[in-house]
Amino acid sequence: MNDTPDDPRDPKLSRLYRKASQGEPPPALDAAILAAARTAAAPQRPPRPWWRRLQAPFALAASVVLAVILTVTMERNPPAEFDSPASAPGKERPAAEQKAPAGPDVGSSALPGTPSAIAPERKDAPRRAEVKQEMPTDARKSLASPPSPAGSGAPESAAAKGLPAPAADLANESLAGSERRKSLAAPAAAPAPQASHESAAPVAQKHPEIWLEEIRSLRRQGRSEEAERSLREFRAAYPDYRLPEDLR
Amino acid sequence: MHDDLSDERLMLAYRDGDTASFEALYARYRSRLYRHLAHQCGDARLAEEFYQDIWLKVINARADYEPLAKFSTWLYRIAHHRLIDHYRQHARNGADLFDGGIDPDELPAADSANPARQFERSDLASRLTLALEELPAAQREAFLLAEEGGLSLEEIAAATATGRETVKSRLRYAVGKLRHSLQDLL
Repeated sequence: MNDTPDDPRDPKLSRLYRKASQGEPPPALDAAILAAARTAAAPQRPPRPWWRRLQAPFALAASVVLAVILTVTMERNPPAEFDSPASAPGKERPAAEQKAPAGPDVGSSALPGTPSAIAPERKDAPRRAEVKQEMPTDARKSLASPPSPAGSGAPESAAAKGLPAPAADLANESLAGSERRKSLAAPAAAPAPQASHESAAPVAQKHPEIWLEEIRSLRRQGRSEEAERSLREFRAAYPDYRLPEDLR
Repeated sequence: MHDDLSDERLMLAYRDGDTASFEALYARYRSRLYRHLAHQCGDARLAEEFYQDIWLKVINARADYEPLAKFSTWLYRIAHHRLIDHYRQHARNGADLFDGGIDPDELPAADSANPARQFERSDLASRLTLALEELPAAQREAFLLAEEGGLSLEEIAAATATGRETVKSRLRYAVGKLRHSLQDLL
């Protein structure tokens, strides 16, 4: 481009150069560059809307809020199952509660039809039949009048059916187990019998055999003071009842 | 369709997503830029590497492209910087030549000026290549930008970031030496 008078280019040299100069880029290089140009010019994916970009943070925040709400709700209104361990046998319970006739009544009313609610009553039913034979008339009357309507059906019907008498140990174990299960299963229903027991004459309403088993249970747990107190109350309530050998 | 459009128009069209414009632009400069690089560095493999790098820079800079200068000036400025980067990394003296730290016109000819090698390159292209190799880098660049790139003195000055008079001086030296080397062919 010798367009100015002071341009030092030589037209002869320029012609020679254009004649001699040779060289082309390889076709593969051409293809690669053109492909890169097409890729770069391709329309970019439109940006996602704001609500799609914030989807994950919102989901995470919602999960955290839900977890916090659940945690606070559980702390303020703990479910029934979580109350029982606090009042488990290891912990000191009021004597009235220990003596409460809530056992079979509560168990059967709290979880009707469940094995934990039904099985203990069936197991101690034959035992009650034996006690009936040993008990005086007053005691039989008290036995005939059940502590609560809900708990009366099963033992009486079981005794009437004449179920075979299991071993006393088995009955004891089942009673102790049923106590634990009942305390775990139906704490919500427990206060009502407790309240009635703390009223004027709740002791006479308690089934003697069940009462004795509770005394034995208290002794096994090492709560001898409570056991002795309960035993005294038992004697007061059933003065004619012949105590078993282990409780004399 | 694209033949009557200027380089700058084609580049602007490519900036807006028209890949056909880039293909037309690429066709105009592919041979010229490749030869410029091949003569400048004297190594086909390096020339291909530089060639690809330069075009990729053009592609990547499309979004910010503004026709502030001629496209050819912009393209050869990118080439100039790429060559300087290479010389800075591999040959300190070469970078000095471009930077102006040493007067390139006072440097001796390259090692390839020996008679045995000259005999091997008997054909016209080899003679031209040999003559170009004998030039100092800055003079060679000025000559190649003028002949291969078709740039004016001002455009060469802009592409190489030097003054117009410096470019004119380098080009005069280059032309004189080439005429001397190729006088039997002129």
